[in-house]
Amino acid sequence: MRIGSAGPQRILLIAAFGAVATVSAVGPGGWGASVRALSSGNGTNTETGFDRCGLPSTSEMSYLWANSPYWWYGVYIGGVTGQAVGCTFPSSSWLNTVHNQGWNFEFIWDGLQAPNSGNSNTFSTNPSSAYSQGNQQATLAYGALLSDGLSNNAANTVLVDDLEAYEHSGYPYQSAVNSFISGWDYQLSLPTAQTYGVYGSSCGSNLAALASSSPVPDFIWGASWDGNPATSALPCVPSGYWVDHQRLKQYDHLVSPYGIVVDEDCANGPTSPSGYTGGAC
Amino acid sequence: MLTGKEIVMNATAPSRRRVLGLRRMTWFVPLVALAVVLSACGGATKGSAPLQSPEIPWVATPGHALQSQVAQSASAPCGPADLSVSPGPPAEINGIRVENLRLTNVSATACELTSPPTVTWALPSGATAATSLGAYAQAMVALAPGESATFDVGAPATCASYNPAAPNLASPTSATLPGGGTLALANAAQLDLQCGLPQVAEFFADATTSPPTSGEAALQVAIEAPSSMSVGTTYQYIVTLTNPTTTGINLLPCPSYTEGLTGTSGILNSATYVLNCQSVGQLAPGASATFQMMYLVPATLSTGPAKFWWVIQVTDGPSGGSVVQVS
Repeated sequence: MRIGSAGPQRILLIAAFGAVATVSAVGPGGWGASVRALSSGNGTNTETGFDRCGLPSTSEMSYLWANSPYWWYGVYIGGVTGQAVGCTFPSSSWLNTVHNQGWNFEFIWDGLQAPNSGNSNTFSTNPSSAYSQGNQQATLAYGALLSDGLSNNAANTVLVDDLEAYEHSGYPYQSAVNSFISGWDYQLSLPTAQTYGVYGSSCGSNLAALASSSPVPDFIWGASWDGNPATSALPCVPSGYWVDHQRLKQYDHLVSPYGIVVDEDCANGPTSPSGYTGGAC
Repeated sequence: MLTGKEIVMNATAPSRRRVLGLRRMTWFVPLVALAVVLSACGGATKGSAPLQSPEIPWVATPGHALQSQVAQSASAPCGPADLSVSPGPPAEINGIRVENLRLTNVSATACELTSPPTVTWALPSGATAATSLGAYAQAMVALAPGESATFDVGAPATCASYNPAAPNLASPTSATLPGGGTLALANAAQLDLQCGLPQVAEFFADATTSPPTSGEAALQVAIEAPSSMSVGTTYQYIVTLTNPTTTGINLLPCPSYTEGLTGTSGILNSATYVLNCQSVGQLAPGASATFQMMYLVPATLSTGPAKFWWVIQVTDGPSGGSVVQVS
């Protein structure tokens, strides 16, 4: 069922010094023809990052590595909603270039949204159908990772479903939401498994309810623009949920040092292809 | 001749380390001085012949950094005649149900928007509502001819009292440009304002996401640097430049490069030198050149995690980086 199970033919990077990857083989033919692959995998990250729908240029990312407090980037790799709002998605060469600048990533899939929530691209209100749609969205997202050139069939690479806010009084489709996320999680748990997460409004996307989905998301990425980067401070999420380096928090929305508006994030959870635990945001 | 600074190598490097072992390099300072002397004697050769030496020695020639790469305001304000507006499908981002608009510079000259346009909405009650710019009030977009920007305006998608059956629809009436004049939004869709007033959800230039394909900007950078550094110590590290294109890349005159460390508070330290590339001249398609680099961690530097970086000082200069723990 999974696409790309045979794996693309690519030459792996040789990790030379820690998180720094060195290009081991480059063929002529320009960037598009270069034989390169971003390493798969993940590592715990405890640093500040940012996300933005509009993909920055490689020059912007270079500038931000040297001039901003950000260590990782939440990058949209596809979906039905993100494309609609003008998100631009990375190429394999963009990811490699930016990773060689020092960046790690959180890969975001901006797919179907909760029904009856003001969105037009929604999954079914029927839990069984929603589960299948979760499978399908995960398969598409996994395919996007492979298209982006992740090595080793993107094993253990982080992949986050963007579940925008839907919660309102008397919301009748929570079981469909949980089924959709269960389908997402299950599909990504199949070999070669990814590390699956859910992004959403800490309260408005009812992240706490996803603790009863099966499988439970490996990690959550909650949005609460309260200016407090502490991942322990996620409103509406009990303190005992997702406690083992399983949380990220989008805590601010501001103008970056480059003059572009970004969402500011704090990680205490996985990023790909590696992480860094030397600091704390 | 000796500076008194201790030079050490990375203690965590795996098997790919090339030349230097895990030992203190008190002999390296005179070696660097010798390299400076040899370089000054004109031993370099031009051309695209394969390099015989695995690494090109570092030379301490001070270089020049470019002006900041932060976008500078230099163009005329975009006027209504400069821009076309094309609406896209509605969507949601960050909890905001948005209408997606693309603004394209259809004029023959560059122009800029020092903030997003301010869209005014007609409410069912007959009143009007202006779009809150929020953080985007300081966001600037410069558009060369043919370039476009994404402009998303919307309102909160949901709230406790949200009722899908009772929308409070508002229609856009005009979009006032920051430099004056208004844009027509005849084809823009309505917004449901029952959960909040209209606001800007995205505003950014649609960046070119393909890396440069010619010149020094197209070079690929691979950096091999220590994962930990001590203050007051000079480190050697390796930078490899690769030409991924199908044409040669001329490195002459040798460009400057800047190396530095950045912490959570900003740039902690940086230094700019001229790349010792006389012996490379032109880098053939697919070829690589490997350079030894030196970096002195100032004795006064604050300790903790930091981002290490190396960038060629040309427009859109390629760069490499890593993470280090400064102790």
